[in-house]
Amino acid sequence: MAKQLTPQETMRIDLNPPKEGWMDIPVKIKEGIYSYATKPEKVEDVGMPNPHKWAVTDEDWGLPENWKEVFLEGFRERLEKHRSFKIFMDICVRCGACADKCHFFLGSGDPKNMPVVRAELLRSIYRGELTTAGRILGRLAGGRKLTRQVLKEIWYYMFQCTECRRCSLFCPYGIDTAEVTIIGRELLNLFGLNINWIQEPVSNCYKFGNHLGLQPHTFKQNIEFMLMDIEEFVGIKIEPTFNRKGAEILFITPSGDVFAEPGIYTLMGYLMLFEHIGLDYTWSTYASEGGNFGFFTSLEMAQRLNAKMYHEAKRLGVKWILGGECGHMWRVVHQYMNTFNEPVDSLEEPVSPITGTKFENAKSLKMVHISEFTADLIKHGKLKLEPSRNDHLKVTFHDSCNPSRAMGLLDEPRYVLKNVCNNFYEMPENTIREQTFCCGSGSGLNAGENMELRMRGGLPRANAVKYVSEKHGVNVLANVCAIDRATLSASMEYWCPDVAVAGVSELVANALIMEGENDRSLNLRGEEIPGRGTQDEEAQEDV
Amino acid sequence: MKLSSLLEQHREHIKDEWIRRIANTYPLKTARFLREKHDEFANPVGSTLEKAITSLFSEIINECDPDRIAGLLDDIIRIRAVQDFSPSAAVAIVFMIKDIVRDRLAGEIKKGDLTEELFTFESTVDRIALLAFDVYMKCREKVWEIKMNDVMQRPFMLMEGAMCTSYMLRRGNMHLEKIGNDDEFTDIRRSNN
Repeated sequence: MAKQLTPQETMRIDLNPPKEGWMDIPVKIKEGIYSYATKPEKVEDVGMPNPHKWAVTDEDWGLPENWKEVFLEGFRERLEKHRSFKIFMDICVRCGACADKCHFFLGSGDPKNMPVVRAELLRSIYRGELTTAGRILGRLAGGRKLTRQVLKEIWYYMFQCTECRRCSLFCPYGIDTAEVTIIGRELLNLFGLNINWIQEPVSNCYKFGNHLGLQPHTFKQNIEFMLMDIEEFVGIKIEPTFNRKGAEILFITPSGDVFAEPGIYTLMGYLMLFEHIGLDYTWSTYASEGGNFGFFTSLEMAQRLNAKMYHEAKRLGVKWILGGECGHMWRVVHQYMNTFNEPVDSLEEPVSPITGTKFENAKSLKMVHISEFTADLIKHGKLKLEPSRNDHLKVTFHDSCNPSRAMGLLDEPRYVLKNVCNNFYEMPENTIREQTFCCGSGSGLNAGENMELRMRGGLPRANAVKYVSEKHGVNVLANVCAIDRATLSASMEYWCPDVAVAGVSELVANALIMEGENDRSLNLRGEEIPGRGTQDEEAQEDV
Repeated sequence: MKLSSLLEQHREHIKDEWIRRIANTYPLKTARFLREKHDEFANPVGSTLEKAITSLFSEIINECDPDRIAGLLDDIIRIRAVQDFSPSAAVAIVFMIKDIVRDRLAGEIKKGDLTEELFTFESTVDRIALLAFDVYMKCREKVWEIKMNDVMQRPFMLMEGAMCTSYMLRRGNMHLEKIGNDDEFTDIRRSNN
């Protein structure tokens, strides 16, 4: 009689992960984890190499014949050009301190998302192809050869890192894995292997001045629609200026806030704040983007896109630049803008025209963060505030990776929030400030098709939000980043559906007492504020 | 002794083994990390697993409240639904408890003639697995809903010259009429029907 098979044998459900080491597990590219390939015309637009049509699911990614030489030559060049990169390739002792600090590892459980292993994807090529010991000893020296399959693996995981730099905080040698990812992406861009979610904004920004491709009249029109909303909800008419020469300050913010919810409410907040203090400022339809997706492509591209900010400030003859709530914009501005451009002699050391405060920290850069600016206004009693309008909100603050880790902006947004909201609660210590968890979708990974990846990456942050939501009833996650506002909304919808996402400046504006305002029964979203709305009055009358 | 008393008596072992087996569905290094790191914010998956399985086992041997069970399943399945698991592997964790109970208590079940009670217990587990399937589908549908909303916004950018939400709201249902006139968007709509 034939042996009767067990259910486990007949209906195999694979619950056993592979036991091999990471080098022996071939990459399996999974839908939901990657973003779509870039369109060739978007590569062409900015004159980057090898524009061609390809799809991630294709066996053949359309690499040029000499791709291996190009990759290794590019690798060599960058080792020479960036001493930090060379050091990061050489000194890692694989201690594992960074291993469990990455939100993608924590959310996915995939060991190749441990920062050490992700960097090892490139390091193994460095050793195996570019060092004598590695070329001779191969695997024994932790080296391996570059193959098409390996290139796909590098691609897959370079776009599973948000360059948030949380891991680098824990590295005893100070290795910045984000910089490894930056170089990894640069190398992939030698073959036109970008994702479209990054490349198209790059092309748009190059052609139109902003990621979304808003043309000047549309940019202006969108803001005018928000002004109509302010008039309806707040009862005041604001008339900002665009491209005005001779204004004292140029204001630049990410274009996401000009277009999408909930960022538009943050932008309405800026408009009201500047009106409240009578600021002499202007918007620009040319420098209409604070963000810089070029930074997720190559450092050269970041430089090209960044140049317009100082250019425009000079053209308009402003004294200094005020920057809105954005994440990577501030990393680029704070860490690169000065060296990207010629010395900015045309601008002055920023001084608040309202309080007289000298922003000495911005002496060289000539650009001030809106939270610094607002905190200074509050500190000097220049804002008329009624924080009780935000009493129905229980607010926590998400430190965006770049403002917190790249520029040390930790206390100003908190100071602002505590002055405009009466209910503020911090998330646990190891999830905020320098140790903050990424939203899970930064560095150009905020596409729609890679939503599973985004949900994985968003888990550690959401886990901390859920904790304060359950403990204190927190219902608003405030932040100072346009990408956060868009991506945390999706993440909250999946992990903590009772928590809304808002920019700090939106909450400021809700609390601002504007001259000539109406009864302020509505917030900037056009929703009735509990305790002030007409419905509440009707309900009371019924009683 | 009744099976429920045996389960109560062996609670710690069964619960720990259940967590261990679930952790082992992840790669080796990850499994070790999930079990060993005990900070709920530094190890959100491991600590969620620990808390949810502990409570789930208590529910199974006590009140067996379906709402509470669904909530606890949600904590675990919501995570697995976006990780590298097939749908079957994502929900298979529920059935693991059957093997654990049989492995641990086979002798005592036989000795105490508790087969009938074991059938009832396993039937409960089967029903919990069905609830897990509901939870899994709810999570997957939510992911697709979020994806769909995201995709739906993109063509507006192209069609409307990137008008802001405020403008879109003012234009009311205008975009729905537009859908039929745009080939790219019609394709998206067709593939989702």
